Order: sequence, then C-alpha cells, then structure tokens
Amino acid sequence: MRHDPLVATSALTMSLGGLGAIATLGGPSPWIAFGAAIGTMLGLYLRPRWRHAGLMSLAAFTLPAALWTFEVLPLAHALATVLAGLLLTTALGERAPTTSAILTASMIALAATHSPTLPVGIAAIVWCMATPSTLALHQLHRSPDRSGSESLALVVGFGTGVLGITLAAVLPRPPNPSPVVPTLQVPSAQRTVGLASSGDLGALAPLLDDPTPALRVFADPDGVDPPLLRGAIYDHFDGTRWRSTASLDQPQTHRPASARATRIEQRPGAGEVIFGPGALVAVDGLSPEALPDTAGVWHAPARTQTMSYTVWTVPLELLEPQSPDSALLQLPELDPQISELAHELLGDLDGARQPLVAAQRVERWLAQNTRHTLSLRPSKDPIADFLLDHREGHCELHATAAALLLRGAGVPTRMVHGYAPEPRRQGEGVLTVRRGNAHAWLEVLDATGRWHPIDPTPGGPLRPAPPTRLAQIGHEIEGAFDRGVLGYDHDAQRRVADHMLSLAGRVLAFGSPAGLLALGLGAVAILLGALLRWLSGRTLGRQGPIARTHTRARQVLARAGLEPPASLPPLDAAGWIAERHATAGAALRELAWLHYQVRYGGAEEAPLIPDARDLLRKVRRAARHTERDKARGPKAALVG
Amino acid sequence: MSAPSTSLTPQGWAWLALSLGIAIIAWSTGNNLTYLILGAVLATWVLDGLWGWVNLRSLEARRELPPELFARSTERGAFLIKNTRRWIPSLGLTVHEEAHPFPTRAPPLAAGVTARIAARWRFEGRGPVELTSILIRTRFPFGLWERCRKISAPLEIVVFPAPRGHPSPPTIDPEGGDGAAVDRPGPTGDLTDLRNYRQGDAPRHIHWPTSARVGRPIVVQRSEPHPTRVIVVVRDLSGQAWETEISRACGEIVDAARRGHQIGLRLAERYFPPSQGASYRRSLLDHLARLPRRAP
Repeated sequence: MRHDPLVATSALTMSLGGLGAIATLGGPSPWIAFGAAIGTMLGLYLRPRWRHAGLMSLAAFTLPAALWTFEVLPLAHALATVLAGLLLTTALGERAPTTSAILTASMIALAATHSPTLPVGIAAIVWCMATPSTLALHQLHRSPDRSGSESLALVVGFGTGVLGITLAAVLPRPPNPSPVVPTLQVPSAQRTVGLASSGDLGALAPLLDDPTPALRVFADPDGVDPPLLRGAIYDHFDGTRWRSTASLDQPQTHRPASARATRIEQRPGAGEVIFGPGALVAVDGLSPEALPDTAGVWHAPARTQTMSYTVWTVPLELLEPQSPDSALLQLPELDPQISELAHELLGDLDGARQPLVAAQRVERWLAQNTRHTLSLRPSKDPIADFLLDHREGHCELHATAAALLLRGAGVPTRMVHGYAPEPRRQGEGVLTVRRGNAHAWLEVLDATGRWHPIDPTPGGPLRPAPPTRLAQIGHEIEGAFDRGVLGYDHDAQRRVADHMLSLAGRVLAFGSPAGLLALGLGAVAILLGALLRWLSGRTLGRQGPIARTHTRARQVLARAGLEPPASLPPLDAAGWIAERHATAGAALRELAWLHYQVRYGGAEEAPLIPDARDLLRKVRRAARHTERDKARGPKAALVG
Repeated sequence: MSAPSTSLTPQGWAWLALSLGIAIIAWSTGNNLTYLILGAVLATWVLDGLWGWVNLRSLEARRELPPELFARSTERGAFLIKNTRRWIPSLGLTVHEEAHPFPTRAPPLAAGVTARIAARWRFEGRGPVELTSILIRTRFPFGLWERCRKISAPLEIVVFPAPRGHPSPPTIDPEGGDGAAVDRPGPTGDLTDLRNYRQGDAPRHIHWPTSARVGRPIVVQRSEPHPTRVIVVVRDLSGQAWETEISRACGEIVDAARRGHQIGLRLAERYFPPSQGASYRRSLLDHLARLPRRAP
C-alpha cells in the first residue's frame, strides 16, 4: 500500500462517512457495509497494483447496489460501501479512476433523487472534493518526478470542489421541478400504505427509518408546532388491517371561524391522503380539487411532483360533539387471553363514562410492560404476538393493542395514521416532516362526545423522552442540512440573489465604485498571486533552502542571458558561466559547492544558509550589471 | 508556435455523458445534491479547459540529437523544454517528434526553468530526413481534454545506413603499412604517461590508486597502436542487394573506425583515400547515406 496523503485522506473520509451512516440509521446492517469496506481495503493491501482494478471497482459498485435493491442494506449504508470501495480502489492504484468516479457519481445521483438525506449529502460533498484530487493525482503520477504531486493534487481537488460548490449555488433551479427521471422501484420505501385509505398492520415500519423529507409545513414562525399531523383515520380492524367504514369526522357544511389555515408542501411518496394539524374542513390550492370520501378522509390527487396546498383545520376539542357509534367499538376475533388481559386491566371501569381514565391506565400498562422497537416480527396474529409473547414493536402495534384493549372495555376509539414531526429549531420558519416521522396513534371519544388524541407508544411525540446531547447535535446538523442544502430551491436562489444585489448596492452607496472595483481586483490578484507563487514553489520539489537558492541563482542568470546548457552538472554550469562572467560564475560555483556539501557531504544546512543568501545577492548584482551592460551595448556585456 | 489543437479523450467522452446525465437529473428534479455533483463536474470542465490552455503557453522546445543516427536503430538524445513564464508551472507534459512519435513524459516544469528530457529517435531508412516540429501534449489536470501544441523546429538530418555485420572480413588495402604509424593517444595502447584530469576525460581513464595517493584525479594516457589501412569496397549492385551492400559497407566503416584503422571507401564512381578521424568517418557515412536508391 502506498502511504501517501491522499490515500490517508480518502480512508479517513470514508471511515467517517461510514461511521456517520451507521450512527444515523443504526441497526445491524451497517456492519455488513463496514465489513465490505474493510474487505476491500484488505484486498487492495494484498494487491495494490492489481491489473483488474476496474473490474473490482465495478464489483464494489454492483454488490452494495444489489444488496440495497434486495433490501439487505439500507441505502445510506450501500452508498457508504460503494464510496469506500471505489475511492479506495482508485486511490490505491487503479489505472483509470474515471470509471470509478462516474459509477460513484451515478450512484450518488440516483440515491439523492430517491432519498436526499444527510448521509447522501455527505457522500455528494465527499465526491465533489475527492474526485478531482484523484483524477489530478492520476495525471501527476504519470510524470517521472512525482515529488509533491499528492499535495498538488489535494490543492487542485480542493480548488475544484470549492468552485463546484459555488457553481452549484448559482446554477439556475427549475421553478417547477417535475421528475422526468423515474423514481427507483424500491418496494419498501416506495409503498405508501399505512398513509392511505387502508393500512396493513406493519405497513408503516419500512418508513420509520427513512429520513427523506415528506412534508414542509409553513406554520406560524412564533407559534407552537403541531405535535401531530392527521392523515388517514380508521375505525375497522380485521386482525391485520385497518380501514374506514363510516364518516369519522362530522362533515362541515361551512368553514367555521375557528378554522386555521396551514400551508403544506407535500412531496411524492408522502402518502395518498391530505394531512393537517387537526380535523380537516377544507383544502385550497389543489387542482383537481381534493374532496373527502364517505369516511371523511381527504384524498390527494395523484401527483408525481411536489404539491402545495393550504389546509383549513379545526382543533379536535372545538369540533361538534359526536355520539358514540357502534363502529367505534368493533373488535375482530381476539385471542381469549387478550380479552382476559383487557378485563384484568379495565374490568373495574365503565368505559363509556371513564374513557380517559381507561386510556391512561392502558398507556401506563403499555409503558411498563412493552418496549418500543422498529424491527418487525412476522406473525399471523401480530397483536397476540405483541401483547402476549414478545411485547415489543413499533407505534402501530402499540396503538392497535391499546385500541383493542379500550374497545374491549367499551371505550370508543379510532386509529389515526399521520406524521409526528420533530419540533422546529429556533428561528426556523418551516417545519420539515420526514418519512421516518410517520406515526400511528389513537383518538378516544370522551363522555361529552369530543375526541382526544392518545399516544400509547413509549417515547412518542405526546410523551417525548428528553433528547440526548448527541441527538440534539444530530438534529442541529440535519436542520442546517435541510435549510442550507435541501431547502435551497428556485425561490431561495432568488432571495439570495436579491440579498446579494441589495448588499452590493448598499456597499456601493458608501464608497466610490472605482475604488471598490480596484479593491476587489486587488484582493483577487493577491489571492491568485499567492496561489501561483505557492504552486511554483511546489513544483520545485522538496528541495532544501540551499538547493532552492542555487536554482534561484540559475534562474536569475538565465533571465540575464547567462543560461548554460541544461545537460551540464552544477559545477560545469558554473564554469560555463565563469567563462562569460567571472563574478557570477565564481559565486555560482561557491553556491554549487554548498549544494554538494549538503546533498552529498552530509553537511548541516542551517549554518550555510546565510552564506548561500550572500552568494545569491552577488549573483543578482552581477546579473543586474550584465543586463545594464547589455542595454549599453554588446561589447560591454561581454566584458563581465 | 501554432495554436494548440484540442480533442476529447475517451475519459472525456465518458465524463461528458456523465455531465449530461447529471444535468438532466438535476434540472428535472431540482435536487440540490445532484446540483452539487453537477457543479463539481462543471468545475472539472472549467479548470481542465483553463489549466490545459495555460499549461501549454510560453513553452520553448528544442532537440539535442545524438551526433550520429543510424537507420533501424533507436538512438538516445533529449528535448530541452523551457518554461518561459515567470510564475506558472507547466505540469503533465508529454513531448515527441511530430513525424517520429516516441512520447516522453516531462517532469514538472517550474516557472523559468529548462528541463532536459531524455528522448529516443528511430528511423527506418537511410538518407536525409527533415524534422519539422516538436509536439507537446498535455492532459493535465483531469485528463478530459488532450491539448497538443506544435512548436516549429525545422531541421534536416542525415540518417546513416543501418550498419550490418560483415560476412567477409573487411577489405585490407594491399598497399597498406606505408608509414602512417603515428603514436596517438587512445584508450587501448601502451601506457605512455599520467596526467591531471581535464574536463571531458572519461572516468574510466582515471588511475584510481595514483589519484588516491596524490589526492587529485590522475588520468592514464596511452599510445594508440599503429593504424591499419582499410579500404571498404562497395560493389555495384541494384535493388535490395544495393541497400544490403551499403549497410555492409557502413558496418565495416563503423567497425574499422572503432579499431582505430585508417579507412578508405571505393565506389564505382568515386574513391575516398584512407584517412582517420571522426569527421572523416562521418563524411564517409554521410556519402553512403545519400547514395541514390536503385531499382531492381
């Protein structure tokens, strides 16, 4: 393995990317990704100059992609594996890194259109910064003198990455993006069951670890975030599936004064229903118009692009009182032990009169006896399995189990599927709701005919656990990513442009335009000059101060017209110059001797530096005289 | 120096396809992550275009040809490439002769520096050859474009015939040995003297024990054995046999010169009397190289 800085940087970046993916999503599958990356590294360690590295790159791309397609690996982990494999393959000796770069870019682009999450964003940024370095290093390594090529490649890559990010910011965004590229067919993430008019038990599970943004809620900036966004409401449960059979919210013939408007942007795949922070009474801004079905669920028109609408909602407590319906007490055929459990828990209560007390008791029992997990256990009778055997599951199981226990005690309940968004950070105007915020909870009808939301899932949004410091940092990063990267659309671009123009106008108003222009040009020239100066220094290789001084002296004399043949070694070159200019030749000979003493004689360099500088000054003086003499006439120039 | 020609490399075509694909995805979806990749891809095009253009500017090139070039033999020489800019280095350069491409990669050229790049030449036939231009190519920094600048450096050279081994011993002048025996310093004769090292002396002529004793390099001086006169006779043939005859004659001249003989050349139309010296030998080879070809 070549131990160069680029390899180390790539390895470090990839390790961080992989760890980031693991930390973000959790679960056992990251270890497969991590193992694959380690395997790739070991393979390359054994065969760093393998001739078929291109083929290996293809394998490193295809294998995680296939694992992702077959749902063995989550997307972010597959991507981390691809990046680790491809970039390390490239950095460790592949002959044509362009193939790897193209495959990786394709993978990231497809992943980004499918799921623009933070790990994918990190992957895109890593690609932007690492790929130009890799391509430049490939070109530099063809040179017979490779000294300093790694540093130069890193500088080139960094410069290209910065330019690329700048270009990405100014490239025009489409005002109304419409996905021409078909969305990937990934069964688990693409299905929106559970947020539709009927929901299989467990249908929400695949969404729960997907951080893809689903909705953007333009709520009151200073107001309190809605804890729940209601979508589908169900009353009938047949043992494995919830569906709607009756009108669940009282139909409103007019828009009441208590209705509040909320603007929502709903992305494709967020669900087939309309969401709102209360009971929906009207929806504006959609064509064709959204209408509620007979069960009172508002369906979204079929769209392949983001749709924007305004919902008018009424808080549940302000709805007209509703009388209990027998449909709200429907029960499927239950395991007798569940009925016994319901009787044991709530047998002493009158469910119709004390529904909220019964709900609290069920919540407490679930909190004490069950555990929240996102993993799904296949079962023919999931509720019996959840309540009687394993006692662990996700929100749907908790809500369904609570509903069945409460209905068994005569408490009218209904199931709600929607989103439970995480609260906004301070200063955020938009509430971003992700697919992973999909949630299931209950609504319980009290004795006065009003609905109350009940969330029996431990750690649910109505009873959240305090976030850890690490989780807070993660939320902050995700918020910045949402605002700065994902939220930078056509409108944001225009806002930034307007802001920049107004800023420029204000600056110009204070100073003279010519002065500001000169200032700007001067700053650009200084930066450019510093960069070129640095690059010029880099290409001299890793010479010591004495060798550099000697090279400078040769350059000075060459500019003055004293350039010996390049084939002459330093001492002979000094002799060649001495024949034409005694002083310059003598000084250069001394410099060459100093250079030899350091390079071959093992002399310490530091004490010789002042002498070398003196000699360089002598050479400069002689060169100036030569140039002056040359200006006077050809004869004088030859005298020396 | 002409304007550089530019062409897309195979990697460049693949990169172009990637650029178009990413651009379509970015524009159709408005996804900022794909815009990020698109920005980086465009940045590589921009920098590759600019840097590649700057990379080939203000370069001077000339040849350092070997003193003698023989047909069907790879001869080593050098290109001298000078970066005349004050600040900007030239990186990732490849240099070769326009008509005889033996591409040679150049080391990084700092501003104001001249690099000597070892190069090779090979010519298949004898006779005068006109070298027109030196080509400098670059794919730096990303290998998407290949730019090529042609530096005009016209030069006529004479390629000597390919020297062939001699199936028959070199023709010895029967009138030879008439007092041309003059002691000349050389590498193989008897030791005549020791003297101080002078610039240009071959290191193998240094007498190391003596040099170590006196503390400075001392060179051995030897006398050349009495030269022998050799007349190389070129038979009057035609077609391929004529070319073979010329190659044989060339081989004999080279071999005889290496042995320190006085060499003459007898052709049907001309006679060169025996003589010694590198320039005389070259004039004989030059004459052979310029002989017209003959039809079978």
